[in-house]
Amino acid sequence: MKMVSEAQRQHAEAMLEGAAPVIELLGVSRVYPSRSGVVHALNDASFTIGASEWVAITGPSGSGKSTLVNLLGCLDTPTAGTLRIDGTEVHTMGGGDLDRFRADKVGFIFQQFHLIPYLSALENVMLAQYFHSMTNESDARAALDRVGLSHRAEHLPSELSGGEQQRVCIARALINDPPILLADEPTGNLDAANQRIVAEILAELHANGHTIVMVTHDPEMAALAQRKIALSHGKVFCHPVSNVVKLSQ
Amino acid sequence: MFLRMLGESFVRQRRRKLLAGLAILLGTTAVTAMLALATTIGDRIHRELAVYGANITVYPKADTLDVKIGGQTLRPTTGGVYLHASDLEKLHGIFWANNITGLSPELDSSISLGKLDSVPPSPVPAAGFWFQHNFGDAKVKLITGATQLHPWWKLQGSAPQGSGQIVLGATLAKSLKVGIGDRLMVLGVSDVADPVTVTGILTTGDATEAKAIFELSTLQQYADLPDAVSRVDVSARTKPEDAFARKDPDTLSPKQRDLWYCRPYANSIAYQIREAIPGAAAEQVRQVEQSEGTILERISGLMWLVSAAAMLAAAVAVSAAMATAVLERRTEIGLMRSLGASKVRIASLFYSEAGLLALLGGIVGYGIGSLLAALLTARIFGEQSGITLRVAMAHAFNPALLPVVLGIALLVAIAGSTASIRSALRMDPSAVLRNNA
Amino acid sequence: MSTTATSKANISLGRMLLRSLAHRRARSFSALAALTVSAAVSTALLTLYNDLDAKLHHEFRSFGANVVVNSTSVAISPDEILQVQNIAGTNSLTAPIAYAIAETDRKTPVVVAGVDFATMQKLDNWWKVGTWPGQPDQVLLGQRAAGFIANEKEVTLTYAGKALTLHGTGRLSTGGDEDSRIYLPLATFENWIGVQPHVLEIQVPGGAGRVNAVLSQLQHDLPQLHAEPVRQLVAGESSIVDKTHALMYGAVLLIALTVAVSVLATLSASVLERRRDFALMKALGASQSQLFAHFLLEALVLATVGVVAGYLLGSGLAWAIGIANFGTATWPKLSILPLVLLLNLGIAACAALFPARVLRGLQPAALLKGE
Repeated sequence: MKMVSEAQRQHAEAMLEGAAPVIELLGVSRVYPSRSGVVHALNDASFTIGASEWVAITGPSGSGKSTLVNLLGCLDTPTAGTLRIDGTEVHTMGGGDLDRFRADKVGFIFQQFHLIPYLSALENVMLAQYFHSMTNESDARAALDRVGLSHRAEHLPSELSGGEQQRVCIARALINDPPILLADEPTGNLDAANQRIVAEILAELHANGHTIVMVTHDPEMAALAQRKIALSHGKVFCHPVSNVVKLSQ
Repeated sequence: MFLRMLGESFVRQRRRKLLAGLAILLGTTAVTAMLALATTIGDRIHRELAVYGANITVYPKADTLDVKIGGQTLRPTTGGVYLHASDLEKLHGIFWANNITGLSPELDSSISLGKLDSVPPSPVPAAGFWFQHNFGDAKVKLITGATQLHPWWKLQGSAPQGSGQIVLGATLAKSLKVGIGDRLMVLGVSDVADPVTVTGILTTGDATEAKAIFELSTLQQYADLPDAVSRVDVSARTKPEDAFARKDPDTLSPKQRDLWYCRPYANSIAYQIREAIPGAAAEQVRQVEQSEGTILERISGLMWLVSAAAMLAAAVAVSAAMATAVLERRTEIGLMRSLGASKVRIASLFYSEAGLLALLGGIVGYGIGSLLAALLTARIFGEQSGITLRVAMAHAFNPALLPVVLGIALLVAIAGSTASIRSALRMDPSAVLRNNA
Repeated sequence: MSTTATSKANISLGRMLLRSLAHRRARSFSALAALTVSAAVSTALLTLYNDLDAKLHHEFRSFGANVVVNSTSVAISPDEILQVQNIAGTNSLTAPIAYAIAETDRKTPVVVAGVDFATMQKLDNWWKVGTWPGQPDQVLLGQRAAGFIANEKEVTLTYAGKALTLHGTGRLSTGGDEDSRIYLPLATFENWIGVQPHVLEIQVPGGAGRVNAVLSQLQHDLPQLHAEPVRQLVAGESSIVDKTHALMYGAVLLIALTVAVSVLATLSASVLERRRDFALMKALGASQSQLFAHFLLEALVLATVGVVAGYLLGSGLAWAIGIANFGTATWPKLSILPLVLLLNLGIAACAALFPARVLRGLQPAALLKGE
């Protein structure tokens, strides 16, 4: 395995001086076995993401975005390298601990929303509480209120519009107060109006100090982030901290 | 990524097909095996029931009455009438000749028997039988005789073959104090003394144990009764008696009589035997025939009902699998609808897929089920019933079952997928697509 | 609003399960149907299988006596008959028979037998008889014996110079030795000839084991009597019951296997179909065991409901088959329930855990992206 170059490390650290890193990758690789040898889905990636940062991960299909989301979301472990999330070394954790850790640390926002069709909006939010610890209805209502959906709490997903479903999904991601929000193409399935609403909510969350890692194809959305991490053929290219665009406040 | 997706979808598609196909395969396997067992069980159980001996007896139309208690003749009949052994060949000519599975003529007589070196021989009851007699003709092979018709007999040693050999009933052997290999002197009617060798000791559990047993022709010679037979035990495959069987054929209308004649009732076979052999009376042995009929009916009835249960189970299994297969493809249906395919076209596509699966699964299931039934038959009924694995396998495939089984598979597959195809077609295609995008 | 909502909104495993089952009605129904049929078929077959030997042994009673007891010296005393009956058991039949040789009105020697007609009717139900005699002076004429009698209505028989005139009620035909005999009521026989029965024909139900037990008991308790099995009946019964038993066993296994695999396939598909739910719950922090528990519980709930319905259905089916085929009911057996339950829970558990294992190898993120 290739050693992490000193220059890369210094660059990453210098970039985030002052801010405590929430996510740290050091020479992380993920290799899949395939019929013709192995596939390097992610090759020697090193970067850090600081607390309260809003980072966009971009790249064409097959560049390793999904692999990276899997790793950052603790759905998968790297085959090599060090992955540290919120100060904990994830790559050494076993399955059970990882599930626990994921419930604590990561809130997912999906392109397809993935709401359970037979549970109401409120119950979908509470589902995350259920897997995390204890259900608490008033907290769940508060989370829905935060995304402006308190009046739709009792509705089933099929009775909600796409934008509303995505807001329920965001409320669900927020409910356990995770240090990281992992949004995988959050606006990929939405029209322009709803995309704006979701973008506003994300910006507001960012302003409130949430760390957001967002995978996106959409340059408009990527432009909202403070920083872009580009992926190409499993390689990571970090962009310098861009000028922060604030939509609200 | 594209290749992976393609591969994945191919694998998934195959799994769906595999699932429905597997259900059809297993269903037809079970149904074929059960039907194969149910259709042959009558034959098998009949063979097993052969243990009870003959179900038809043939005896000369007597002018004397047997005086027998417990199988023992208390007053020997004199000047009896006999059947002719040569007439038995005529049985090949009767309508149900192929249903005759065993034949054992018997000649009752008495001879004088004694040890070679001892006092004058004393008279003992004697019986002559066929042993491993070839009663086949050009068409069928039939090796039959006393041991086949009396499976409960225990013969120690070997059966008598021709003159010079004798088998003794167990009690007779005991009273004479002789064993296998000893030599005895037989004094026939013509007062010619003949030395014979004891080749076996017979235990039967009845009066035969007190007799000297010879090969039929040997005894005919000693008793000077050429071609004579006192009675014939016949084992025949019969149809259990019903109300029609109990009718007297001579009172029936010609048409009804033909119908009666052409059914393998014990009564009609006995009637045909009476017709074929001059001077013979033939009766069904009611203890065997009636009771066998009941047992046969019950066991094959049971197998048919169990087959029906198998069929039901298979039908539900196949329907469930077909429903699953269609439910999983709602997206595909939605896509096709949105591309403008008519409901009829989609339905016919799915139905033909179901039909194809049913045919494939049905054919393979038929093969496996037939083999399974053969294996089971060979294993359960085994070699002593003459059903070796090879024989069972040779008769494993009943071509009549194939269309039946395929028909059932087709029907069930199509019926099973109807409900889900209809519900899938009723759904709003855009909703389906959006939900599964 | 919040108070009513509090009582309404609550997430628990059971609640989610019920909702999920209700939501996927068609699928739940087909899984439930498969499980119900599986339980029904296994219940019906096991119930029948359990009862099969008794049913078959019952059928074999139609062959009549399977043990014959002879007195080696004189007649069998009523005391001894009672003892034999006790040994043979309550549901056995014992027919005392006395034989003698008399002469018909045509001076032909004929075997006459004194019997209790009521017992013979039950014991030898293959006898084809016009009308069974009811009066002490009525007799049954074997069809061959009848040919040696001048007047069948007024049968005059002579034994040792003592003549007796009886009324024939009809002919008896069996195709066996009975055809050459004349049967008369035992009491009449005893008065006339002065001989007590010396043969007992006994029907011992329950197969070779029971027969042998009765035989050895008879030999032990009544050594003065000579008891013999009717060999072909005893051997034949065991062989046929055993073989039918084995055949049913094969059939039960085969059908159970078919149903099990089909149910497994259907249920597995239902779990696999929801791989995205699986991935979502994983992303929300559900542990592997929680997910297993979810799918397992779902399968077990379905299986339990299926078993209850199937047990009722299957017992009904077994009852109907018993009535239709054997003419006697096959009553539901509770002892089968645990086995059926175990079988179906096992199938359901396999059906739930097998795909869950497969899913573990899949990439949740890829699934969540809809690939």
